[in-house]
Amino acid sequence: MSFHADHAVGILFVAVGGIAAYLGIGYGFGSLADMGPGALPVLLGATLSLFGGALLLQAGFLHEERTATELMPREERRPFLAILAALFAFGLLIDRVGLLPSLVALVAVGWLADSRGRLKELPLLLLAIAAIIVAIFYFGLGIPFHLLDWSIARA
Amino acid sequence: MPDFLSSILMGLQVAASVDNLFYCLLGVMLGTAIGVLPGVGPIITISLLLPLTFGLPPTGSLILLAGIYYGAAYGGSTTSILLNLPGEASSAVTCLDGHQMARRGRAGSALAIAALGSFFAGTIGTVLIAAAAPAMASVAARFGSAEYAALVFCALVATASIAKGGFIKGIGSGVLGVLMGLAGADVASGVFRFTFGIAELRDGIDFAVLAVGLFAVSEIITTIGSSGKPEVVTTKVGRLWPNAQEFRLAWPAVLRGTALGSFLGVLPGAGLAMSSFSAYMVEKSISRQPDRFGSGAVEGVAAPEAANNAASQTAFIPTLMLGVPGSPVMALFLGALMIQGINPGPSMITNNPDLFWGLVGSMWIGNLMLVILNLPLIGLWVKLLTVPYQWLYLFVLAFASVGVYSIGFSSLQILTLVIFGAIGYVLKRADCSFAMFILGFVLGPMFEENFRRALSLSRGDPMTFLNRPISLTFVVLGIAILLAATTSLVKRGAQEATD
Repeated sequence: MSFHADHAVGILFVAVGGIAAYLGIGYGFGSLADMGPGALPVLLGATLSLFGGALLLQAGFLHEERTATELMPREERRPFLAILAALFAFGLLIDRVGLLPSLVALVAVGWLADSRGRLKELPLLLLAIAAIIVAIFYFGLGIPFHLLDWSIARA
Repeated sequence: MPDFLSSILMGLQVAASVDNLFYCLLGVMLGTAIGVLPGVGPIITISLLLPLTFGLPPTGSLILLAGIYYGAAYGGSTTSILLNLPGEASSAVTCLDGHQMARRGRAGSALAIAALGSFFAGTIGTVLIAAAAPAMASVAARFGSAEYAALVFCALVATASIAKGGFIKGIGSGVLGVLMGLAGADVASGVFRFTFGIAELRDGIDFAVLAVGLFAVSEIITTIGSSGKPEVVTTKVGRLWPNAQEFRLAWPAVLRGTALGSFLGVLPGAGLAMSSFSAYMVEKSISRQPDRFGSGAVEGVAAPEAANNAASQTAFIPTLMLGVPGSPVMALFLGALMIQGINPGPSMITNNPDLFWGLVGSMWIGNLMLVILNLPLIGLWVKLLTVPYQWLYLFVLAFASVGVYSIGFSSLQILTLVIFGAIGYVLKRADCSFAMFILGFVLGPMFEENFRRALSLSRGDPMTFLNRPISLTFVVLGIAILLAATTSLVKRGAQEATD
């Protein structure tokens, strides 16, 4: 039996539910008349774990059924990694170097996600995207981005 | 009823100020421009554009959002008709006959019928909202904590019962959303929950970040992975104005669709996705030549589009009056309201009448703008359809990350986006319902607050949920749906309706 998307979600439900219930006990359940901040996390966490368990059982019994889908098909591995890496790079850079260099990093890393992209298109694409984004956010909405900011400390 | 007519007039006055007209126009243009992109449905469009609304004053922000909402819906139906690529469940029905019309050279006519039908339905819907407002407000005033908690329970169960992927995943996604929604400071005790010592999380998980990560990021990943399929692009739009025969067939269908959609839209949970599907089925079953459906029947475009728009209009009734959204799009809308510091509910009409009626007025103006702006501009939108996806996704990605960053100017937002992108991908692969997740996230804190208060008022007696007639109705309805959903018959039927 291989690992399916249903198994992943089942484990996600069980894990998040378990953590929520565990943390909820720490926050204090209170009583029915005076519920503490942990009451709903405990109740819902337990419910979620239960549903996660049910899902795992169902996925285990029905593994021969066609409907079970692979967690990550081969052709989606590359976009998955590249897109998340591009966002991550943007997040690392944006506070440090300003908007334009971060956008360059985002687009350049994100460009790797699709194998059909041609390298000679990249510079023009970068220019066009930077121009549209700056036009909408910086000029259109007047959001005070640091377009280019090599100093570590922000004003 | 001159009372509500004068209220509508006041709303139109608010909406027709120069600033607000500009926001409405901007929203409609941006909404259509992004909504028309293949593979970008209305939900993604709205979540992408959500950060843009945060900096504006409340009225302007809501009007911009309403414009985006209609623009996105219209852009979505354009893509359905021309590309046979539905952006969401409700426009899948429009594809059936709309795309066939496009292939027979009647794309312009299909688009015009969709736009005019939507405008008519939207007008009726707006009047219905205005007419229902006082009555709904008086009903809502009778809602106490127990009723609200029971209503949220019922709405979540009803949505889960028709959610794709089945009931277990539906409820699971909803509960997951509720738990995420509880993160941050607990209102009653001030305890920080699920913050893991991170200061930025004390205000909770940012709604827009969650929406963009869940909807947009995961969608980009799967679309790149699955692309390569040839698409039938119909760029020849043809004559816009429907001919006499098309017009004669369309208008009764628009009337029926509007009536059905207006009714279904009010129902919590299921309404929106069901409306266009039911309208299509009604048209097909009363038609004298049902075999024309599927090969370009005008009624097959007119009725579902009208029903969808009427339903999305009347869906504002529970969203605005009770604060309970009926669909993921409404949940996005509600989230935006809350960010502006407005608590939707009966008090909104009395406390912020200019906001409420201004929104109602701008809905109508937004609809009107769509018809007079977008039909002539159709050539421009068609050009956007031909932009290849390997350029498009990079733009969407840039738009998403800059928008998310602009909310709080914190790189933590971007990291949260990465995490929700990954969670969203897993949920999407397993066919879990994002609708449930987002509804849970928005309704969770409201449910908790009312659930706790109801029990505290009754000194811990859970019978309080059954002693009150309104609350009892919702609880019984919820449990009945719960029981029905476990029988496979209902599940199978509902799946056909939403997929």
